[in-house]
Amino acid sequence: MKKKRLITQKTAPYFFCAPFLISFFLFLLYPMISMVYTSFHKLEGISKYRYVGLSNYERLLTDPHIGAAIRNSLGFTVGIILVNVVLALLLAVLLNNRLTPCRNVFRTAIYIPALTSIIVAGIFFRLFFGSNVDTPLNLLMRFFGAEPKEWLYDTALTGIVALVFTSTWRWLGTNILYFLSALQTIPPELYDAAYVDGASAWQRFRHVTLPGVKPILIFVVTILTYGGLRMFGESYVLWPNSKTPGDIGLTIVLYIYRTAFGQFDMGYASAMSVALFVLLMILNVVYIKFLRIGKKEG
Amino acid sequence: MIYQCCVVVLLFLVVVICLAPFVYLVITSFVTDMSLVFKNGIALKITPDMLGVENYSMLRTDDNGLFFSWFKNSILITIIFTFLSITFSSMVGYGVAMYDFKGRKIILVLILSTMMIPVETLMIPLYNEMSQFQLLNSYMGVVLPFAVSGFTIYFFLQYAQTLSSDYMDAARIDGCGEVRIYLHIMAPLMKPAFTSMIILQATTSWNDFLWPLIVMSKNVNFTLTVGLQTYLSPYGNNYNLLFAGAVVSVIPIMILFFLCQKLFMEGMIMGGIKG
Amino acid sequence: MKRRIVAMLLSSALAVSLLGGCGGSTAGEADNAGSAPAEAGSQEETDAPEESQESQNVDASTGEATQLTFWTYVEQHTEFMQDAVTVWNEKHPDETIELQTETYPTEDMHSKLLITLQSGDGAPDIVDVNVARFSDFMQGDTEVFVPLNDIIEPEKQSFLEPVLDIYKYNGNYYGIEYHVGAPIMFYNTEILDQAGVKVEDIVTWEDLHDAGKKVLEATGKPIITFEVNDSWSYYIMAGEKGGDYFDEDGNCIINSKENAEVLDFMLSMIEDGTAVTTPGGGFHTEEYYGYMSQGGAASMLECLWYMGRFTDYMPELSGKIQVAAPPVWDESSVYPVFGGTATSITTQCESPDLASRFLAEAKISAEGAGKIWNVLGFDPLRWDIWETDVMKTQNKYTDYFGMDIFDVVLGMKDKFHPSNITASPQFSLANSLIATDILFRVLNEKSASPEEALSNAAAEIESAK
Repeated sequence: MKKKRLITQKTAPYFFCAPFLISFFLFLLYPMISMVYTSFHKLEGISKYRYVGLSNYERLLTDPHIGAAIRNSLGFTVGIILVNVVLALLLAVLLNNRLTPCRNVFRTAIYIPALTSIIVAGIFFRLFFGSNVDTPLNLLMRFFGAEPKEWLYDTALTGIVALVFTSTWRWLGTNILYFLSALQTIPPELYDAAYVDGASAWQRFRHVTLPGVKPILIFVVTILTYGGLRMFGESYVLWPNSKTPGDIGLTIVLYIYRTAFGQFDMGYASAMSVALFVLLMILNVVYIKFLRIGKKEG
Repeated sequence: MIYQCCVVVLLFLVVVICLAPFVYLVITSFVTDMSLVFKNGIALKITPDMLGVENYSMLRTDDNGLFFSWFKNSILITIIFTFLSITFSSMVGYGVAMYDFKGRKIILVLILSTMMIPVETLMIPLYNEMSQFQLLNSYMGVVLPFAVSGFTIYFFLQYAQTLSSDYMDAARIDGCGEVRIYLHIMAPLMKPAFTSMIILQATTSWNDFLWPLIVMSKNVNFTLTVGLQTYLSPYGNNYNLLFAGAVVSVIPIMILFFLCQKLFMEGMIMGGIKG
Repeated sequence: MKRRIVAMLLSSALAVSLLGGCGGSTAGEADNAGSAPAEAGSQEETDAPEESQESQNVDASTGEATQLTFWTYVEQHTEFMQDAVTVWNEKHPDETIELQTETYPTEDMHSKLLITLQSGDGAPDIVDVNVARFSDFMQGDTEVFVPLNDIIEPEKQSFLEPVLDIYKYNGNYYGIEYHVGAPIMFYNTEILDQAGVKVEDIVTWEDLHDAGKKVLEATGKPIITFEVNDSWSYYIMAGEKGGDYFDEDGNCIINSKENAEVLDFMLSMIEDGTAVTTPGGGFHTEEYYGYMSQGGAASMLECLWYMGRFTDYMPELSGKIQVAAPPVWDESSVYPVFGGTATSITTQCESPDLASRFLAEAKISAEGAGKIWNVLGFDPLRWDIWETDVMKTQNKYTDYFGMDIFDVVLGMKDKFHPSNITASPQFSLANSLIATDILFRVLNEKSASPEEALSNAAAEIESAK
């Protein structure tokens, strides 16, 4: 007797995609609809929502902190992209070079920070960036003849530097691995050919390495962009109790979090989330269109 | 030779920066009188006579061994989460990569969009949902909402794209069902990707903070990351337990990492994401 | 209903897949999560050891103890409450209580409390709420806390009413404070002596400013530090002038003339070096403890409960710190009191009557009030015991500050003035603007004048309505 298969070549993809679809509808779409609904309301008391039309969105335009939050988030994003791309690519090239000794040891050691939680990292970096003149960083500053700083309470820039540093410490190792994976795909013959043609080290990097890692470069930039714009943890641990005086270190998601859970202003927090979401979705479409993510190769 | 020296010095510096915080945490965790460390802000001078193992025994006995229930919770949640996450995500990634079907494009866009949603903003509706499903204070409540993540799917999707569909066609001719093709032929080919994702997902779950904090409302149910945070308070930080606890919390994930290190690196570097 | 079915299917599918995939223990957990009610079901395993241990403490003959949960963000409060439970169980063997306490970081506890109150499930029975966040729970008509009038009103005459009133909303008391939180100046007499300044001579803020010039000349040190990422030292100074964020009717007065004058005064001290902004931003940072214990500045303005910080973090200043009433602006100045932490009973509590009687014994009775001083080192709300022997016993605070701590507070008693904490649900927003924005911009960054900064804040509060 021939059994009729339920899962055929036609239905199989839907079967495979089912977990995602279920999870998407249950744990993303429903909460998001609820978020959009809330953004047109104002929480009064503890559970009564009053319809307020677009007023939460209008408030977005006049809020004095949003500018600072966007500035910090953008600054942070640009910062981690620059540092992580340049530094990670440089280190990946070094770690990929056969002349470099102990490559595996270095590779592993640099990856280790990625295993820690932001809480554990925060314990150290909160102290590292402390305000006293004899914190590790300020001792270093004095060693180089510079003035000690209250890093977390000085200017928006020092705040962003602290955030980029903390974040890079945890993510550099991962990004190096991404670049290493791309470097592996470049055939060594290309380098040999370039060498024979008398290309300098820089020219080889520029004309062989860079085109070879371009796809992964785009991927890393994409990941860092989204990670950067929705960063929350680093700010949360560096400034205790999410108090960010003068909006130093205030990021978009931290501001949303504080509005929602600090001031219990759910409607306004939801409106900000919706705005951020729309912004990210536009970026999303742009990336998919221009970077051709997900297209089957060949 | 000169190149090698320069490179080693440079890499060594990077490694020092990467590992210094751990060294500091480990040494400080043995200091018995924390007020000596924080006397003038943060003191760097730690002498051998300040050290002892009292913090660790305190960690063991504090609050009837509360730390151990956190430890157990973290381990179990990490196992469940990692298992569900790689099972489901690999399925989806494989399905999207290897089949052409109606709606593929939409699903792809949805997958990518989920990578960009700031989940921090969805906490309240999600909490209400968990409450309706009666999953509060349970491991499943922590695990389910984020088990199928866009990033993990994307990783498997990228990896699956490097596989040839010739294997599948050959198997079909032999009368193999689609699920069997996946389980017996294609999934084993993705082994490095699985290893990499086991490490990445276990790390994510082990270190997750905000969501377990919201779902778990009793301190015996906390995970390590959430529990550690309770040692920090504007009304007196418990640095003794915090530092010792932080050190212990890093150990299991380190062990896992070193056990799978070789396969992990292979998965990340040899296969990995090709953009 | 549909959603629930989907969830059930989903989670049981997961449970099955786990049974196949993992070891027995994980599968058991998953099963629990899928089918049993969260509170009881998945808890069984983890709670078991604790319950058996607790039950040994409870007298077996009295039957079931009532389970109550208590959330706080201050570790010492759990010890205080557990101690109160032991006393209660001895006195009331037929209605014993078993208290499960949970300590969370401040911010996280308040977020969790809101989420659980909103969803109508999972909130604790008894909870500590920070004074800066209390207004969030006092808006509209929905009651989330149980009125405590029945336990407070009978004892009202022996209590300092201004401190009771800060948690009064629509005529009901929704929380009971731990301490008065009397505003107090802590002077470092070692530094003052070097400049020949006596604490007794500093009566007004102008006196302090003049004394500051002497101290600066003699020692090069500032006389006072101002917080820039917490609001309370500013709040005390403004409150003395009658300033507040909101008036009694909830109108925003954050940009009042009085408030601006206080900022102007602070700025003038910072400009001539007699005051500095706090290292680390606030009074509760390691940086600040280190700075003060090395004799960084000659005084600070906080509440009486800050004594604990001196004894715990700045032991080397023992015997050198003198507590005194804060300087005033003129004879009409008052001392604002705003406590610090209210304890409330949530409406989700299943035995509110028992919980409130327990709370009354723990925090309102004379015995409880004595413990607030002797165990926690706080100034209790019951002034009728201030002059009794309970308050004269030696403890670590009297060793550090001398025996006459409460004489200082008694001298201030008649000038205590309530703060309008519950007048507007925007109180927590206003407080956070002062703490994270205004003080920093005006005193540290100097990027906005006091008037500018305060009127911007008023506009922001208006738009958040």
